Amino acid sequence: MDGKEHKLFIIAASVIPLLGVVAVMVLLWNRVFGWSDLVVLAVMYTIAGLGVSIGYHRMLAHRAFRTHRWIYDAFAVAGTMAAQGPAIIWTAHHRRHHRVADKDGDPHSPYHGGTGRLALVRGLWHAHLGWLMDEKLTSDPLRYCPDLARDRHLRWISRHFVAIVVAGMLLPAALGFALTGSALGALTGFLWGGLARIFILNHITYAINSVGHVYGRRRFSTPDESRNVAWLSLASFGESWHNNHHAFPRSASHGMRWYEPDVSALVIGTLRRVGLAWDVITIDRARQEARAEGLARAGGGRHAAHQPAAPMAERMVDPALTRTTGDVE
Amino acid sequence: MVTTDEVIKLIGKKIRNKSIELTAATPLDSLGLSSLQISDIVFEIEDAHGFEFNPVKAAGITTIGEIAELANETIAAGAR
Ligand SMILES: [Zn+2]
Ligand SMILES: [Zn+2]
Repeated sequence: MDGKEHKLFIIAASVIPLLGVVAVMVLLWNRVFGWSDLVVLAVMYTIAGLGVSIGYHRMLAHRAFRTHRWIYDAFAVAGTMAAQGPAIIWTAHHRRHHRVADKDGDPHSPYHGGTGRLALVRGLWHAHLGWLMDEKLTSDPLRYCPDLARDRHLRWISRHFVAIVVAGMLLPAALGFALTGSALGALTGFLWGGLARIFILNHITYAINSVGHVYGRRRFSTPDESRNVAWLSLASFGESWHNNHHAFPRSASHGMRWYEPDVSALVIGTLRRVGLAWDVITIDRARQEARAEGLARAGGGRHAAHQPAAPMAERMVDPALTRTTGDVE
Repeated sequence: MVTTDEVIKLIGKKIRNKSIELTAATPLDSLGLSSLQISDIVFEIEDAHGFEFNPVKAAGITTIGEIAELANETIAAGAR
């Protein structure tokens, strides 16, 4: 699913949840926000949020760790429930973003052309949601993620995207019913854990792409405009340490200091300790500092050259194209 | 050996407009397939015949016939 269908889905996914939020507010007018709604919202937000952060992003797009087949599939399904697009499409766009971040060809850079305040607002909108409305924008999975498209399970999960999203909205309804034993509980569970949850989580994720490339601190002078955004870190399960992430895309942890909370990294670390994840990619302090110094010398920002220039798929095939950048890619 | 017929059958399952006539020369762009559907087709062929496309070459495919061609080329190269 991409092109027109993908666009229609994204519009539906951004508008219908908004109506859900309005419905939620109307219901709240007459009725106190029930404890069951809070539980359902928290549970579903965590499932879909970790599904995107650990599953789609760190595990699929960046291969930051390895795990058992069933956990792999479970994370991919959980990420699908976030309603941000099929796994294979999402990761293709995302790998392309890393390849040419904030330059021509980046699917969602806020530096979209022009200068001044209006261009910035327009750019922020484009990076946040506008890019998903572009029917012509496709990132070919054959080029950007043949490794994932080759996986039969991931193809199945991607093909059944809409069904899994719907299941992700029925689940909170069932949960609401189980907790309250009432039809009203099922309905508000659906509104909070389904619609409102999609709305909140998607805007947090999209804020990493918009805000996370404009406002915040830069530890590394990466050849892009990525930022570390502290205030988004808890809600995004650690995804907002986005400058760290652009410096070390394969690192399983995006937080790099004790004061950079990264719940996704804690979960991956726990999985590793109990033997459910292995080959977890970690970057020690010495490597961080070496890279920070190297990048500071080279100079960063969106006008700096990207290296290596070859697309990921091509480098995986032809070792001659692989430069000696280690596993920072 | 991957035949054009086999590829056409796979594509026929995916497209909604069943009135389009599929031949070896049919450009993939004209079928309205999503990139996801195309990768589905390409990798289902891989699964069925036990080989792996070179992704760089696969990305350059434009017609139905070229899918079968590249597949057979790859299989032959592997058998050598
Ligand atoms: Zn980024
Ligand atoms: Zn990334």
